[in-house]
Amino acid sequence: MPLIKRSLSDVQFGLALLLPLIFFVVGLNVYPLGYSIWMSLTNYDISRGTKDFIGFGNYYTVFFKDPYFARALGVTLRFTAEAVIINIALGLGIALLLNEVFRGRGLMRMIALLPWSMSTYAVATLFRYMTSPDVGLLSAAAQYLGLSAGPVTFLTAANAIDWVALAFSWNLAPLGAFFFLANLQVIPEDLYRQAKTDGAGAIRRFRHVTLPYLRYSLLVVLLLVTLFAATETTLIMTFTGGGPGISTHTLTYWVYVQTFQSYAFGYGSALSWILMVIVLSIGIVYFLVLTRRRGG
Amino acid sequence: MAIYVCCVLLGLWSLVPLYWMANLSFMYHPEAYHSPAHLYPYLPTFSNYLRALGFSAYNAITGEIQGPAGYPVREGLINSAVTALSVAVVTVLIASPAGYVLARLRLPRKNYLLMGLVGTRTLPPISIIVPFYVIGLSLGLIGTQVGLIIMYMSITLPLMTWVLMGFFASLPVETERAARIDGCTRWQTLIKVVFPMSLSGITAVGLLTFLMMYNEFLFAWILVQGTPAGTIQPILASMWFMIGELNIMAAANMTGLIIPIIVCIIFQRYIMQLKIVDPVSVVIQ
Repeated sequence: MPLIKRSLSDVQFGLALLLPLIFFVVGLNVYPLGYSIWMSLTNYDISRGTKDFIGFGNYYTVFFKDPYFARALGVTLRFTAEAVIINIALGLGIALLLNEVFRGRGLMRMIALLPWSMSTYAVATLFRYMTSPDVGLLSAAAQYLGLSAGPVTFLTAANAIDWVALAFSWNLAPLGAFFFLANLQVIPEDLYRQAKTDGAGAIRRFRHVTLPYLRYSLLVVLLLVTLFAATETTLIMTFTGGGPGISTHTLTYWVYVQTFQSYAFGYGSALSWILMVIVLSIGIVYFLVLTRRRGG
Repeated sequence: MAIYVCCVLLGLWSLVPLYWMANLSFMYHPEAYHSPAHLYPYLPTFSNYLRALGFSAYNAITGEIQGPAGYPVREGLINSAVTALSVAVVTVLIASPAGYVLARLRLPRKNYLLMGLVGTRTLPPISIIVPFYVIGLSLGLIGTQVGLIIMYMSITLPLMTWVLMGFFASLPVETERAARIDGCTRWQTLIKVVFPMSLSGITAVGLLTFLMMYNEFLFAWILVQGTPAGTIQPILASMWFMIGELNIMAAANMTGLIIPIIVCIIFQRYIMQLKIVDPVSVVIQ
């Protein structure tokens, strides 16, 4: 067979271009994950100097002996639910506004996208400054308006997680808004005109014309926000540091504490695998949704 | 009319937190600690920025020259830019051909690779960082810029391949067919026809990668904080825990926002023009 003269087949050409990607994904994603499974089955602990195979001992401890696990799971669920609601409401609001035709729309788009461009750390800092009792704008405003005689503490053990959800949504909602906007712009103008002549009011037009078109992006935003919120670590580390007390210890923050503050790598890995299973099941739903649209 | 009211509300929502930090960053030390806080600086000064960036500055209240704040903010800004730029370049070089292949060619078992790409994106960063840290320790990669860049690729490569795949799939296939019929090989088609056509999409992906990695905190905090490779985000965070001067802190934080805001303004042009906002293809944060 004259191999040299023949041009490359699809498979050879494709593999040549995919090889670097496969190399990196295996080295940087697959291998560390395998390593992590192994660690989760050991009592690897740098501070105690242990590294022995203990089977499912860590998982048993998480489910039956760790009083913080159920608590952390509860905080994670509350945070995720709040983040999803605020994100969708805010994202939809911004998208509907930016979809209107008015002067200065380009500028408004830029302003709307601005919070998204900032790092999670910067968002945490901005919100710490806003809510600080001493230098915070909210505290100062309350005093200038005569609502309070002295500095006001906004972050308490009871509501700190709500503030984190608000900061999270401030940062992420513009992304959802641009998803919605991309979807809104393909709705044919005729449909609205027709609905108007049929005597449908603004609310009915939204329900029967806009919403059906948005269904797909709503689902995607819902899943994305759920994924991101359930795994958010940086914002909690830098905004509240898990506090006040342990009121903002989510599951991911608990993994961080166990691993990088207690150096219980084995136990931290087991926790992170439980988290991963929860998140991956959401991811599988996401993939099914995506492939279904690709096919149809 | 109602639209402009909404615009004002949206503007306030997006800009007030930013304004507040800027406000504090232009105050001298005593004013920054005034309670209740001033809504604008009564005696505005730029000295906090100079001191945060490692220069001396004149204090108009005491009449003294004050020394630098003594934190590696400038070094952090440079490290962040170099790290993010390197990651962006390497990611684009690997992800563009891979994205093209996945968008255009029929390959056996392609779906497994696609599922792997989406799967890695859904992994919690905190779950990846634990094994990374242990493996990195044994390879001597902890605390080095190269180590950080390599580990960032674990985030950007799967994600950007996915985004670029969506982008290439949205391009018309006819031009490529024409080029093939005219006698171009696959390589020639890719390099002379497809890539020139896709420059805008590839640029957008590069910008996005740069922005994400410039802003990355968790990996940098665990892998390089406190070393000469330290990037700006963890340096600012460690300042927060140690430094007393709020006004300097605010100024240092403002300097960390300059590049992301500029990149965002450039990126904003692409975000709507390109199919990059196709909800399927973008899984950004």
